Amino acid sequence: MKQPTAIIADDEAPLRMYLRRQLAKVWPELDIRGEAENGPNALRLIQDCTPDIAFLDIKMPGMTGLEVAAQVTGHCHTVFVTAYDHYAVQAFENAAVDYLLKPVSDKRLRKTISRLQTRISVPPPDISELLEKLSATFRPKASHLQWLKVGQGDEILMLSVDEVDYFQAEDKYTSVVTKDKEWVIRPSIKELETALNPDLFWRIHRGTIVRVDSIARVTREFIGRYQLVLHGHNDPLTVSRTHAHRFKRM
Amino acid sequence: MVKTIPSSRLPNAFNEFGKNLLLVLIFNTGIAVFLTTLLGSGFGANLTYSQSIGLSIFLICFGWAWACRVDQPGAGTIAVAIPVGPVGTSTGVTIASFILCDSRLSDFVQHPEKLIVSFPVASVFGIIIFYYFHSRKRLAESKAALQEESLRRMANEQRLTETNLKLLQAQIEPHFFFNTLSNVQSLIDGEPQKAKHMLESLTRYLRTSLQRTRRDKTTMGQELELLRAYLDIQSIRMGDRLRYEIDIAEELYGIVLPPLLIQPLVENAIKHALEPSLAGGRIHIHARRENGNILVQVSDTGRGLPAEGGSGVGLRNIRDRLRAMYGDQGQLVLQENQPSGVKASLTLPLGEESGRKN
Repeated sequence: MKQPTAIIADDEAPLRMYLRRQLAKVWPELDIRGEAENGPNALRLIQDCTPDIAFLDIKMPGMTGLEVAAQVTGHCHTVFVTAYDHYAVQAFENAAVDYLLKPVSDKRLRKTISRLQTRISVPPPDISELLEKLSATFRPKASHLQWLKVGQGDEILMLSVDEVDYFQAEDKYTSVVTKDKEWVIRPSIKELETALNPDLFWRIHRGTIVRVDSIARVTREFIGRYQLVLHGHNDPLTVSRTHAHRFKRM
Repeated sequence: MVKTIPSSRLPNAFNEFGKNLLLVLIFNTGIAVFLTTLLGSGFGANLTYSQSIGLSIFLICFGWAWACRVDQPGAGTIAVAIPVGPVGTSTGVTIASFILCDSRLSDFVQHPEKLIVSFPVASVFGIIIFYYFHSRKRLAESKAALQEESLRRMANEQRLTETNLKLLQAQIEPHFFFNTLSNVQSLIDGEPQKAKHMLESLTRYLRTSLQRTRRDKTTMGQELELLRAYLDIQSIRMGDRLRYEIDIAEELYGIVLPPLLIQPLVENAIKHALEPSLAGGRIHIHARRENGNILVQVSDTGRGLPAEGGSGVGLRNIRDRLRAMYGDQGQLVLQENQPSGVKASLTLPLGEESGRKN
């Protein structure tokens, strides 16, 4: 019978080596054709060697283990190797895919190996759907704009949005106002509104977005518009009627 | 959780108007009572006149203030307030006279001096009323501002406590420990020397962490010892993908500063810039004196900060602690590094220097 073949992919060399040695102990007939230290290399290795089994670390630079598996599903049995993470483990259990926690314990490895040994004679199943579900767990949550690149002299400053008190539309650009400085950026107020965290930043006017925490007080002209007084700024910001609903007393 | 403005910060325009109106009505009634007891004339007539005049003055004051959007009366506004009294009085008299169908108005028309005599008094009344309401408004506003200030102080204190707790937690960061021990385990059989080396560095790291007796102060030398142990461990893990250089003169080792300012910057660089990158990169840690401050720079050659998220919380923690300790004089600035990566610059005012080195 043809000797079973495998490859190991992990960005940490010690762990690759460790797994190699453990496999040699537990499944000496397994021929380990190669090792990869990042996602793209793992994919290339699988395409070149066409192993029966691929041990894939999840967190690898360039391409995650899941992405690699998605490319080779149906051609290769995949076993995921992951550092302990509550959600990861849950996801794997639910998806019923093979996984190992690192550092890999002998007992767990033996169980996984015996499972593989029975299945190796049949062609690998297509698990694209399962992978789709899994990648949802591993995908970083849709996040909001956090960093702005602003020009300062001949250098580029990374400004955290937490430092911004408000954004104000100017003629062809947007002005970014912090506690003691002012900057300009290209994106329009409309673009900023979609990118910023809506819980932390409110649009109060066609041309203004304010960071809610910087509001010190809301005042109102006798029977008129709302105005926002910000910490550390003298001039108040005006709220347009369309956006006044946020400030009405409940 | 949707954010809402606390109601203490919202204005209450109509409520204010209502309250003031009530006061005016009461005041006018008081005047009517006073006049009735003093002059013995009919209370009904007096009441009609006093309410009419008083309300006219009040509404004119109010309306005019709204129209001009006046927030603070200055000399100019007082000057304009002067005719409010007489105008209000005349209007009030006209209305009241019309309501009561009496002859007082025609009497005044024929003998205007009777009415004009009251004008100075009316002016004074107008200004008094104007000032009264304005100072009530100011009082309410300053009360609101005070409350706002104390709320803010409480929130700041709470945030600082949280920050300090997170700091303690960070000193014994579980993921780092777990990861390191995993690596040690995997190295024990195959590369025992490396395993030993890693364990030694981990021990050094722990020892330096626990040696810190004060939560808010450490020396540059101690901080660097921690950093070296940390980087040592990471470089065994990442191999060639992490190269680093600590470029700080020994004479700066005695400088006192808050703990865990530099390490989080290095951690960020590794986590966000180097680890995800195929080639890894280099970290350069540098410090020097500059204009009476200490400037600490951590630069990496990684792939830079992505616009969305990443390291927001950790850096906010550093900024909070800087502000708590140094107010406006401590600064953390991030810049794009050339040709790629991030340069984080910490500016700390030069405070005390510890006599003992390290």
